[in-house]
Amino acid sequence: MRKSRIAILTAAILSLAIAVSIQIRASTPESLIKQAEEELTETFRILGKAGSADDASLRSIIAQLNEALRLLEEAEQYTFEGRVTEANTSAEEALSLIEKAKGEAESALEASSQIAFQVLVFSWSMVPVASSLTALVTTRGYGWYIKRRRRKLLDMAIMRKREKEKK
Amino acid sequence: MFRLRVSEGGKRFLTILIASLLIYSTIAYISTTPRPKEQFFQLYILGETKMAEKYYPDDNPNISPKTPVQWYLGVTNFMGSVEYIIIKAKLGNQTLQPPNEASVMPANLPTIIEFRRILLDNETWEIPFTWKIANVDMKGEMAFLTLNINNKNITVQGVGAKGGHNFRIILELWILDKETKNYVFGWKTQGQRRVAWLQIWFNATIAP
Repeated sequence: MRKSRIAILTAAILSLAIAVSIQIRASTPESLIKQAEEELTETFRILGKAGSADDASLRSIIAQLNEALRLLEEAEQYTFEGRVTEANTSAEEALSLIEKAKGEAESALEASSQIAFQVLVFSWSMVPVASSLTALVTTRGYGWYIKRRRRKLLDMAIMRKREKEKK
Repeated sequence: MFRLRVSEGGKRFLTILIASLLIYSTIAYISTTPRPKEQFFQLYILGETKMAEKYYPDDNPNISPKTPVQWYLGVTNFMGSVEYIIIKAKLGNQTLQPPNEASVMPANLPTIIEFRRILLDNETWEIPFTWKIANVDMKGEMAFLTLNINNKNITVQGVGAKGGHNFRIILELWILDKETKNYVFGWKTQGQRRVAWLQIWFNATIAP
């Protein structure tokens, strides 16, 4: 009974120590910088697909990402100088900016894919419509032209006949 | 046996319809398919007057310690898409190999500083590059430098020059590959890899 109690206590202390060490590791500036860089890479990949997004939103997202890059550089410099608190603040700021930009990039991607799809559907659906209209207008136009020409010829023939009759 | 009878007008209509379908399909295909264009970056370096001149103070490539040198690095994105670029500055000497364009290999030299930026298509980014020799460490005949670039001190180990002659600052253009998520030297266009790099030579003046 006593042995099992000791074992449970040891396990609890060990898990607590592991949790604390994980927490400490997670909040180091290096891990925050790494996490921010990974998020930035992912955001950039999304942005690459949303190339046809509108210019204003693309500019706004890129401005945020460039600001995040500046903050990350700052965080790296603080880390190098051993200023952990400042490094953490800069890295956290960068991370929150990147996360915001990522959300906007996802929306831009969705919007641009939707627009691209609509343009594609519209362009291809216009093909049969325009072709039918062209064929219809051309056939009718040609028919009307032939009719007009025939009538002219007929009128000329009638006039000639009348002139002959007068003579 | 069933025989389809089509009038002259009907035949004409069908012929024009088929021809129009072909023409309009071609137009739709061309308008919805992005045209391939030449993709490239432009990398340049300017002197203190923001022109391709006066790269050294008094046009003298012998730089004495604490003498500030002002350059401007520029890069323009003509890739047709948003690009994540890195300009890596490296210090080299006469014997160490610069980047190889044929094998698309970067210089095997330590990076002393790097600049990162995400660029829109057709966007130009210009960065001031202010540097000076903060310290010259002599080991025998070889001079090793501590540089101060944009107010950051960087001691470059492993790259020395005899009597401080023929150092060079090499600038390489790297990008983030969207597919592999890796940073790569140069870029891919029409199935080929291209690179952009620059170098400027200088001598470090050693105090007697």
